[in-house]
Amino acid sequence: MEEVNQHIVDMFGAKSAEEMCGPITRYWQPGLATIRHSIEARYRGEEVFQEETRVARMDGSVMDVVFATARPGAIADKSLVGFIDITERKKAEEALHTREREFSQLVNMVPSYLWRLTPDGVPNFFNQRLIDFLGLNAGSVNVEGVHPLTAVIGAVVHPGDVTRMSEALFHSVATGERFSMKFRLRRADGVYRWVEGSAEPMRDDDGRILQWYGLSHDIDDLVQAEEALRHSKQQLEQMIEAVPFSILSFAPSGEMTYVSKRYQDQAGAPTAQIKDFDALVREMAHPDDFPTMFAQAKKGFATGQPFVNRFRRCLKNGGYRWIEARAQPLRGADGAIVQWYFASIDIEEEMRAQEALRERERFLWQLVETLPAMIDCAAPNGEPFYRSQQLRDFLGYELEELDGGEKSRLDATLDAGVHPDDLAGVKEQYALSLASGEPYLRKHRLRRFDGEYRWIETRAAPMRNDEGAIVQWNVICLDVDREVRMQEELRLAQERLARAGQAASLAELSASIAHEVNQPLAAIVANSHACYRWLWADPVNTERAKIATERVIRDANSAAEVVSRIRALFKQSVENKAILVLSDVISEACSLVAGEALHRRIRIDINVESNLSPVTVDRIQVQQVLINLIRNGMEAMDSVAGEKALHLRTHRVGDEVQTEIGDHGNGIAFPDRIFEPFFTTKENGMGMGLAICRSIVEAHGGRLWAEKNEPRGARFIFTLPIVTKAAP
Amino acid sequence: MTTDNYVVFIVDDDGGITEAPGELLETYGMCAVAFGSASEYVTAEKSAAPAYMILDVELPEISMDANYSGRSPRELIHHSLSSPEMTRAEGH
Repeated sequence: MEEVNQHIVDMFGAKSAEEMCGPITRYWQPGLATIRHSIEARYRGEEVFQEETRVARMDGSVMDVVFATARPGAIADKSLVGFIDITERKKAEEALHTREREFSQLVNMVPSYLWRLTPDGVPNFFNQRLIDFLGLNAGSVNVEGVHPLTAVIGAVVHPGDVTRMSEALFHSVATGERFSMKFRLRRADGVYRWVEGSAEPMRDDDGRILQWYGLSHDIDDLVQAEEALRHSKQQLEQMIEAVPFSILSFAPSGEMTYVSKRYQDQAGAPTAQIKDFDALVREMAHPDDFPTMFAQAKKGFATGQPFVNRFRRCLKNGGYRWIEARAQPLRGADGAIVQWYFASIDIEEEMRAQEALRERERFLWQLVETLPAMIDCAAPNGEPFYRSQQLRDFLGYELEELDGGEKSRLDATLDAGVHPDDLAGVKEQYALSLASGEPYLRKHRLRRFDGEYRWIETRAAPMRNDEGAIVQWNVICLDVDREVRMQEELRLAQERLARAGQAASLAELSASIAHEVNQPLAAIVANSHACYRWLWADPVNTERAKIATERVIRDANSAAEVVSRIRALFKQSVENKAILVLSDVISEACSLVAGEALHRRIRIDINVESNLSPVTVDRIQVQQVLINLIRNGMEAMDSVAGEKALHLRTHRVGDEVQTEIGDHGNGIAFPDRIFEPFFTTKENGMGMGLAICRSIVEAHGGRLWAEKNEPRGARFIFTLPIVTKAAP
Repeated sequence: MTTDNYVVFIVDDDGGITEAPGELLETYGMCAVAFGSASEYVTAEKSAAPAYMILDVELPEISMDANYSGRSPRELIHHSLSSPEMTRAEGH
């Protein structure tokens, strides 16, 4: 280096030109290869050499330069060497590279598919993602005689989308219009995925299209989700239409938001003016039902509580049908009501059935309430829960008035109402029935509201369900006070009769009756006689005759009354029949005569068949027959020496219960006549006993006859018909 | 026949029985006086006129049995009659 200009000095950061002189290798350490190249170039005879290289400044830092040499000899014998600092240019170039690389990375890394077409539509660039996705590059699909774009579309677009995609893209290429479309792209593994593709042309300053830039964004997940949503919504709608409910929904403001098809089919589509709940129900609900259902709905809306309305709703083509509408609020995460849902169902048939049921119930209710009997219904444990008007009126209080005390309703009723003398029996028997399920029947005195105790016949029977379990007790109480008092009087009369009959034989009873009749008859005879004498006296004493006649009339009436009283006594007692087992009656009769038998030293053998069927008889009367026949038998054996025994045997013969009383006396001399009235073989007998016995037996539908006993004596036999089950 | 002076005492506790015979006796001109019981008869003021007696011998105070504490019919008659003449007692 012999000479340097100032520019070089500045460039290299030297203090002076002198400092630069000397061998150039001093500065050019980084550019030695270039010096060598320049020398080689000179030897080759090249006139100019130019190369980019690097040199070190005086401070040691390195800079990019262009080194150029001119042909030696151009200026004297010297070589002309020049440097151009290209540090800035290098920096710019480096920046450009970096940007290009970044851009390329961007193109490849952007999570989408980018592509480019020539103005003719030939694909000339796919970004790396698209290449990876498709498994092919822009220029790799070539079909002879086919436009490259058609070939690519045919290869990568779903067959179902090829035509419209191809048409649209070619249309854009031809017209320059923007391309936008959703279509399915085939992935390398053969799976098609939905993409949203769009492309726009890049034009030059003259408006000529230079390139088409395209982007296809993968929207498959979105499409699938949308599809699923649509499917699910469709399913939901189908379900809503399939369920037998009409569905409506309303915003919290009352605005109608949904009307199901079923609703529209039934009630008709709401007209345009109807936009909210109020307008809808005003239009649709039956005027009679509207106030109640509307108030109910308003309350529900106000409180946010679900509610149910039953009302008649207008039909599409006129008329009304009963529906049940259930409303339920849907709440958001914050608890605020988002929507009200209404599901309504047609209950017309149910309502009709209910109406019929109610009608029937009303009928039965009225029947029960107006029956001339007192009705009480009780739970299986006996607690009453219903009492008919008649019973409430009788007792003078309502069932509910019993509540709140310590006692159960049942106990409170019994303790307060049943006569103290009857209470224990009633409680015991009723408890027994409740426990066993056996029907209950008992007569007892019950306190009426006015404090009077009246005889009541109470019958209770259990009502059972299909499984046979008791669900309730139905109780009927009949006021039988009059009947019971009449019966009581009758019973007292009969007791008197029975006492007479038990104390004395029927024969003696007859004598007593005869005496009762005889007294007035004797008076009649005497007074008649007196009357006669007064009339025949001289002078005639008509005054006394009249008095005597009056007495005759009086006594005759008195006699007639005695007779009719006796007749009435017998007549009434026939009506006092009960169903009972004869063995009890027999043992009673035998105990009544036991003392007498002992006195007469007579043994009575009793042989009663077990499990005798019941008979309908007047206990007292049949007892009298038995006692009379037993007495007759005992009397017949008075004159017999040795062991005396009377045999009594009762057994079933066909449809009758037959009782035989046999003695070992002298037997019967006139078996045909003994049953005739006033026929007697006894010294003091009236001859009425057997006649009465036979009439009693026959009044009971039986027969009484006498037979010879073996080996001796007589046997009296009577039969009584068995109660047939069909009889009430 | 003059019977005006006779008195007939009827002793029976059954008023219906004393009435009719009394009436009949009166048609014969006899005076019939009825007593409801033996003690009533015994304590009554009686005339000294000849008298008959119709007596219910089954009255509670009357006894045919000597061992019984009641009065015998004879005793009753002797009680005040001057010329006792017993009629057949009425039986039942």
